[in-house]
Amino acid sequence: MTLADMIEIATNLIVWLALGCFIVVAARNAIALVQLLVAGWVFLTRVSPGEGASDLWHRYADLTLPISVIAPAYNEELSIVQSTKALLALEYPEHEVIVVNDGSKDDTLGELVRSFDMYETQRTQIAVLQTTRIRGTYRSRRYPNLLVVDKENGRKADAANAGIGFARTPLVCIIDADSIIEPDGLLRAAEPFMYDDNRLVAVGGAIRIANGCTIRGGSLQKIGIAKEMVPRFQIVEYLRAFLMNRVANAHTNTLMLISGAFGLFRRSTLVEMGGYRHDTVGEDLELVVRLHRYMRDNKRDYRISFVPDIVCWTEAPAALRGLDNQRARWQQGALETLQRHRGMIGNPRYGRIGLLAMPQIVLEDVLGPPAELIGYLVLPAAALLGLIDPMMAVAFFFVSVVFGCALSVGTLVLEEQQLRRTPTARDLIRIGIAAVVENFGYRQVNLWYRLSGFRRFFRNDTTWAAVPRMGFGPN
Amino acid sequence: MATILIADDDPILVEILKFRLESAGYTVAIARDGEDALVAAHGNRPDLIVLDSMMPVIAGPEVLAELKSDPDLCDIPVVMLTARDGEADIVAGLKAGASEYLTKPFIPQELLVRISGLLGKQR
Amino acid sequence: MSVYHDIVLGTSICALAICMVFMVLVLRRYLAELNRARRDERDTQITRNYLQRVAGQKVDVSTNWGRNTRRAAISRILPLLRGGERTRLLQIAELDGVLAETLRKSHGVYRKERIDAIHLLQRFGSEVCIARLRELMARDGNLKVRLEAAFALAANDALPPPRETLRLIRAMERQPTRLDIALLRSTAPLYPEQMILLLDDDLPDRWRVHLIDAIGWSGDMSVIGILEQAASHSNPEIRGAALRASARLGHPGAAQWVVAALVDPVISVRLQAISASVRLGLRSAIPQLSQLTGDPELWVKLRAEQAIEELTPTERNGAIGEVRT
Repeated sequence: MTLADMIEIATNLIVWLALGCFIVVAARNAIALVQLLVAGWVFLTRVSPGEGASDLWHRYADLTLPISVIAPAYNEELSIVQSTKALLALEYPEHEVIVVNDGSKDDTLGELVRSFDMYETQRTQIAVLQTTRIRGTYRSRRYPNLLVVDKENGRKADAANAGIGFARTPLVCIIDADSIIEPDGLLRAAEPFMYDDNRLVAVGGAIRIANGCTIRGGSLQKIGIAKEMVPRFQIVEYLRAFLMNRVANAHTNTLMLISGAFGLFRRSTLVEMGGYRHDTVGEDLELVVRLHRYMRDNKRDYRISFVPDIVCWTEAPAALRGLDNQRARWQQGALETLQRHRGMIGNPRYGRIGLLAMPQIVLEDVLGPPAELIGYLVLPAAALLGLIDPMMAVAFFFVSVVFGCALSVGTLVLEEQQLRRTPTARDLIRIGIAAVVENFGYRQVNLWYRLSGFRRFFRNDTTWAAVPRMGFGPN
Repeated sequence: MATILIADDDPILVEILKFRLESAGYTVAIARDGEDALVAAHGNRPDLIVLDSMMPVIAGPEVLAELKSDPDLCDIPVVMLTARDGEADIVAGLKAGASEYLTKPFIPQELLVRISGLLGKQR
Repeated sequence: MSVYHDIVLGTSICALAICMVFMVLVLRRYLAELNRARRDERDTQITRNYLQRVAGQKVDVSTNWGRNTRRAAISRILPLLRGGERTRLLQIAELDGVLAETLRKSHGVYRKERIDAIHLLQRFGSEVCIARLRELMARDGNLKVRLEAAFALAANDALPPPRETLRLIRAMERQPTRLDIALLRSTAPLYPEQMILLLDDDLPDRWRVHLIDAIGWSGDMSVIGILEQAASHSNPEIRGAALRASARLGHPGAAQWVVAALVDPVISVRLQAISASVRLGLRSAIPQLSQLTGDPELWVKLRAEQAIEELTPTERNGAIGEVRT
């Protein structure tokens, strides 16, 4: 092979790589645009919750399905009493709070026992879904709807499973220990069950960032916007994820993720499925993907719904340190889930989930991040070397960055038009600025963090090789 | 005639109460948030307080707790008038020392009778 | 011009358009904030004006506020008041014609527009509103709008008789939802006789179950005979509904078949019987409940244990069982 041949091959490679990156990024954004339009349509035609229905609901409270709120807690002795009180005070006709002490090394259990005047009971566990040992159950003399389960340490999935096993109500709501639930969050999330004809199995809801808000006694007092930029960027990201992505997916019946910070499920379905898996870092994504798989394998008619109202607030990493780990974990979880359920990808047996939703995750979480990062390097380089039309490099910049700004601002439009939960016009402008600035730096840094999620995935696991390589990877 | 402090952030509700209470011959003072209410109670001691629960700055239940722990103010009767109608809220409000607990929507006539009852008892 | 030029141009236009819309929204919000004090002041004045008229005072009724402004103010008052004062206020407001716009919108082309109008009509709940809601429930082409009108009527205790209601919401063609059950329950106290007549119809069992359940909410003790019959129906779901209804009605005569149902062969019926015993406060059922704590079905066992706990008075709380609804 002559030098000229080698140069020829290298040139071709670069041109094809550039084109590939361009197409992946453009496809990703085209999907996002469609989602934005669908979400806009959903909001435009959405009927605000009526008083007629909620009045009936109030009058015949026994028609609402009782809920068990399951809060796994690990080393939360400072906040557990306040947050448990807030959970007990949620507006709902009938709910039980199950706090699962996941083998905390501090005095979480002691705080609970003292503050709520608790005594040990022998509560029967209906289904054993956890892999660790239950050390005991406690009931309160003052709050008949509080149960504390003390168990050996496992992962969050294991603690949630233990709680699900103790629940006796038709619905269970799984939350994070640091989730701050809206006072009417349970009511809002349970509303789809009122219109349901027994097909609905799970409901997700919009989650917002609590950084910058005033929180007192485990509940939100005043909405605010954090001073730092990193949380502001995340506000935009969350809006995009919940108001655009989830709303559109739920509308087309392809909702693939219900956040671990708040999710409402039919208890019986979770128990049948064996609850969360313990061997993945992305247990919330894995659960919903498996839920689709399980229902479709068993030929059951089912629905998963989403309420765009805010149900819960959660504390986000305030700086890049902390964010890096979170994003790498999300990425690794997505890859693990895709690997485990790779048989669903493009499989017509799973209907729109197999043909649309799963490939979309592949594009979003497998191809997208590396394609965009590589594109930032290869396209300008190729243009400088005169291998491609320089306009193509410019167009790449527009498709990724400028279009990204448009999408982020677009979700802000949805928020302001529909939910209007940003405190003031000034705050709105602040988030608007963050929505634009986010695309210059933060977004790219994030992609980088996600690549380390790829690294973790490959280190832990080699069976990924069974799936055809997609033209990128460690070599 | 007795002075009544209304602590509520809804101007419409304040107007309704003010109109009815003034027609009944009471003097009315107004506080728009929890902090305001405490300042007003300290500054110009009212004979009775009508307190909302969901207010900016300091929420109603905390204002109530503050009032009841203050030896100078703890004997002022407090009427809670709030949209929170849960059993637990009502019990908690009364336990914390509220003299009456009324929920919105309310019957103005009922509120007036209860207020005059409380003021009569005190005298 | 290459395709890349088009992409750049298209993206720029799209981004610019979205940013413009956003700026408009920010401006709208900013103006709303600026005007908030003025709007509050105006609504307060309108409120005072109406309160004075309700109190029978002579006031200047020159209409310096538009009808929509008044309607906006009044819909802020409505969630605060109840009782006679509210009724009088609504009557006066209606004479002022504040609902004209809403009534017009209830004929709108868009579903959302009509449903928003329904919500407002429900809040006012005057005769004109009820009449219009009835019309919507009967004639609107969209099922969702008809259902929404039905909920609004139910909230005002003004639903048409049950047979009519079921026909208008196309009940027989659907699976019942929880809100359908609520609708039936809210017509039961208005038309107890019709509910019973309806049972003679050729109804699918899945709806008969909910009719039986709703009869329990009629507050009419004479239906107890019907419930007794239903308690021995061959369909276990109907037996369960009869137990629920008897418990709701709170008729002491029901004790007999509630206790009998504790040994029903079907699990769900035994569970209903247990909760009915708790609701009726049947301490006499404790021996039978104790037997159920050895039931082979885990759920029956657990509920029976819980029921005994709730029926057994403790020093601290008395019998909680009777407070539970």
